[in-house]
Amino acid sequence: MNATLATLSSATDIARAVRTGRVRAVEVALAALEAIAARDGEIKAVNTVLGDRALHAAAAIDAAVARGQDPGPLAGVPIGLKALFDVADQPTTAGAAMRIDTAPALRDAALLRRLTAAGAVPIAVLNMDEYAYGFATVNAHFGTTRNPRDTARLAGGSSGGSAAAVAAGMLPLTWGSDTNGSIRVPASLCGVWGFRPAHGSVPEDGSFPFVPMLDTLGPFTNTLDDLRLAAEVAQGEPIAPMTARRVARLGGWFVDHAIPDLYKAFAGIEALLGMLPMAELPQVEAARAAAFLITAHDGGRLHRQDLSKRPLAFDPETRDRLLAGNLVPTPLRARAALFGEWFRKQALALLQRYDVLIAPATPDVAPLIADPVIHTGFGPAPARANLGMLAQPISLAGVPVLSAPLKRPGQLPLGLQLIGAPGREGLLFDLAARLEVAGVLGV
Amino acid sequence: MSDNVGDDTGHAMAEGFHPTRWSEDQIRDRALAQGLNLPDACMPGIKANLALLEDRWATVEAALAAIGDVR
Repeated sequence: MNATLATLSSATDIARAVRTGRVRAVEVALAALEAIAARDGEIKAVNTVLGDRALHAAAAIDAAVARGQDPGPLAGVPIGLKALFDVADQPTTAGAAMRIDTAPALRDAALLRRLTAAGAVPIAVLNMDEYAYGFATVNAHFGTTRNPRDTARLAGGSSGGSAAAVAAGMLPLTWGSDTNGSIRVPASLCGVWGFRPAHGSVPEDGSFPFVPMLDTLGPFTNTLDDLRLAAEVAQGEPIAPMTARRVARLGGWFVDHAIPDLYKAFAGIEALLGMLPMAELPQVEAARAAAFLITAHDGGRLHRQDLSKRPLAFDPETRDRLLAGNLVPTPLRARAALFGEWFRKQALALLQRYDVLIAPATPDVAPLIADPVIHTGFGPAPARANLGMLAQPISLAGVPVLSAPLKRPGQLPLGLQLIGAPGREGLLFDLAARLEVAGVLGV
Repeated sequence: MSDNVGDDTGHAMAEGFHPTRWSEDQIRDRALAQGLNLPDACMPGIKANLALLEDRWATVEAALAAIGDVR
């Protein structure tokens, strides 16, 4: 890692240093560009480097500071964006080779405009599964993103480039999307913090859609303070301070499908909070199945025109899933959505009884790229189809989820989902902070 | 087409989605009805994904029955 980034390893530190004129934003941007040049040849998290734009934006921030102006809470913070965000003058590929020659975006996505207005400096466009349909970031055109904690392993997906860029120390803050777990899965496998906001709480204009009923946009960071800062800027309002008192562990599906390492994590949590009650969300397997069906149906229809004209231009893995999704009858999708409404009500009812529900984010650690198999509690299973099995049901509920890395020195990363009710995100950050202080969570 | 037409009209019956019983010709016909001409290379992958979708639908259908239809 570059010395500047090493001494200013968090977005919060960088913004503080830039705002007070202690460090120039241009210096930080150059350090991030240097870190990408040094590290990304191996990791393959970055699809496009925005060098000129980054240096111009950083210079403008330095000029503002020199004039005595405050550039904002993300002053000079270098950021990366999953390849589905519109970035002015760049094609929005959404990870698809067929979109490389598409017309450049006329302006930044709404969320990116909010971030740059707060002083952030866009540095790079980041790798993803084609059209966000996957949990691996294995991309036939842009390459496979490697996990910085063990480069023989997958980073997870579909926001794998975003998680890996943070884990590798290339960028302190990146942005991804989460439809069925695409923030929580790579955050867990790469050992970084992630946040899936409540559905609809962050502006999505100018981001390439996948399944609008489930799509959300959120950050990855190396520190909890940065995660909170990023979430507040994205949501356009502070997260109210709250104290989480009623905490439960999700049982059933979430216990049955996780490896024993994850059980051990709860011992540390219970040492702090006392024995946790086991809460049951009903019909979790069906929630996963409903989200799967809705995704196949809506994703398939979204891409039907391209599938009819040039099916062989798709990544084969994505293409066959999208084609099959087109054969799901719309009345089935409607029934799955009806079930989804019922499931959301059950989740919100449970979140009236408890402030925070805790569940593993992934069943297992990052699988090997050469042998993509995970253990789910019932033995080995194909990684691509099952990495999201603990995240996908929660997507259907549409509630906010903080993805928290377990402190596991010397071991491969694993993450937890801290699940709460919309509007009570402060409870998630409070619990995460206390578990971080206790040494249970952290990078 | 006979049972469970995979159309967008909303008139098809949702119950009984069994694509593993479809022949390759039936799969192609249903895709054509959506304007999709399936390349041969896609057929194994599509069949594998349809089998997964059939399984997932059965799970949702069973849940809807268990919770007492929520319509």
